[in-house]
Amino acid sequence: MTSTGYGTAATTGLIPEPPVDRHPERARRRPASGSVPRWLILTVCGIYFIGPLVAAISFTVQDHVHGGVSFQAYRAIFAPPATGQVGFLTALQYSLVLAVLTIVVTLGLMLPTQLLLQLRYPRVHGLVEIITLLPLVFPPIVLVVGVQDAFAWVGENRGGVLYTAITFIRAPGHPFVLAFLYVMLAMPFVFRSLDAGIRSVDVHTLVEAARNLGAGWATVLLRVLLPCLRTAVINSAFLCFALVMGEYTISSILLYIKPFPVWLYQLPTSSGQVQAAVSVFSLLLVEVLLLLIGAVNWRRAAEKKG
Amino acid sequence: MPALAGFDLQVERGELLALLGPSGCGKTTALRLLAGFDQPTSGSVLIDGADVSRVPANKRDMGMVFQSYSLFPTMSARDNVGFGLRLRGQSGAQRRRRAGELLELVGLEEHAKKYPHQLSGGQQQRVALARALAVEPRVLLLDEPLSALDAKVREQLRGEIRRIQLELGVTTVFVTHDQEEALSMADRVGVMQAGRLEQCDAPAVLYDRPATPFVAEFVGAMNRLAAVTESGGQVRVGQQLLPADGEPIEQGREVTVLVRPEALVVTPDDDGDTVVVVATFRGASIRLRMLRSDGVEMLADIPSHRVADLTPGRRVSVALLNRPVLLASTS
Repeated sequence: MTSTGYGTAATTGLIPEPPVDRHPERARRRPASGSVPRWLILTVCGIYFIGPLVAAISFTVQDHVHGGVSFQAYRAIFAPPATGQVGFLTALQYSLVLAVLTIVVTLGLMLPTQLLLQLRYPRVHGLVEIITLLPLVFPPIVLVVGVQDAFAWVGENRGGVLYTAITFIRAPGHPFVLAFLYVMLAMPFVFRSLDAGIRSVDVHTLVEAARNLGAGWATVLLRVLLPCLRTAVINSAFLCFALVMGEYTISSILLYIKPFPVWLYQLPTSSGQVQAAVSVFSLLLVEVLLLLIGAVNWRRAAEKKG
Repeated sequence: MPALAGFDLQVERGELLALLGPSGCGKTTALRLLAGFDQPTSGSVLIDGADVSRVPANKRDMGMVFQSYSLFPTMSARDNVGFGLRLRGQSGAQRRRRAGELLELVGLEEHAKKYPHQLSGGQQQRVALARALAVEPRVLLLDEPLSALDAKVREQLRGEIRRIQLELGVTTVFVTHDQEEALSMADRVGVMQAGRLEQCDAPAVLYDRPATPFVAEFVGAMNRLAAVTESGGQVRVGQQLLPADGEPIEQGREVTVLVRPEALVVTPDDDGDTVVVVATFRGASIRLRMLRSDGVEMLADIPSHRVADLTPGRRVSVALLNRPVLLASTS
């Protein structure tokens, strides 16, 4: 029999055999490498984050007079407000409107801008990125002092278009001023979230494919790009929402008393238990609202996967 | 430097025309001008005699398949195919029926509900082809649609695109840098270099009668051999007199001629001045790389059954078939 060089090498044992696992069952039971550190980190983080929350909840439901469990501290949150004070529902509703307004304005401004940067003006991307970072460089207190100065200056020059516009947006009945300021505060976070989303899809090709099939720019944006960027958009909305529900400095300095964080701070109580209950309640409320927003995205993702 | 200069191309109705050229030669720019994604600084694009140079891309009625996967990731294959129809106001039932027909045409009717990430690269490009055809485009534009696929899928899809194009009779412009793809699929091939169209002809004409040295060397392999011009439009290559293509050149000039590998006749000869260096198996033929005693390298294609006679190291003598040769340069 003649054999080729390859055949000879293979049959004379020149190529080492792969190692044989003689205990395959044991190998299957063995935890995957890295699993123990993973659980350890998860447990430590869980204790770090959930521990104080559990302690606070435990504190708020203890009946220190009669013993046992009592929800009296939580009932106090929903008690009718004193005259001239803002109630829980009013504050919550005000902040929700503020959050929606901030989300709409931020995304309405940032999404088309960032798509334009990607499609038409990639050279100025870096410059715009730096500009969006400015709200992180200047603290909110600087921003609000600047706004107050600007308002004061406009107030000295009555009668112009600018005066009319500023008077309208700072009217105490609606939260336009706060929303516009929050848009600025949200810019650094929203820019990065949207940027990551835009970079993860081939925007150029998708736009050209849609245009080629007859789509106008509005259709391209709403039917092609927005669904592709859904996760980035929802993440941006999360960030705006969390920012609005937690922002206190600007609204209190501008003397807005309705936003939820201001209401929390001004809650007329001396009871430590009620104050802790308010903290727990606001934390859980924001978490639930964020989960509700996220659920929309998760359901769509699950439908697509299924 | 303009991306395209003096670019004049006419595509016949129902024809598949391939634009072939090296990277950066302007073939994709030409396609983008046709699609309306870029605007020409001068000149015009006519479809059926009407100037569409200033018509936006979404109003040109062109279908395009892109080099990169361009399916809308949040839509199923069926919705992708139906996207253009939806924009044209067709009802859901009409869209589903038409998308079904087209997915059947590209052999993917069973994958209608799948999303792009659940399809292979070849399947995605087929859906993209169905999507481009769904709108019944006046011209189908294919921008290197096979370049991201592996060799086997590419070859298979190449045949399918041609079959579908012939079946529907859709006028098609196909951009590629793969000469095998262009020569095997197209009715005519336009070879481009540095923004210019060097030659646009049927594949056989392009191969056998290249108009310029660039076309000759870009399409297929070529040997460059020294020669001297003789009277009567002939050149002397070694001891052989051969007819020369192109304008007659005065007698006695030293020139370089281009000769295809298959036009070389290789004979084993112990006294020959050439040695076989490498023999590469190519299926039906063997490509020989040979070195002449004066240092000139030559390529020759010979039938596979002669491989035993022409092994590396074998001395050979080389002659040329009596075919017209192309002059590459004069000195």
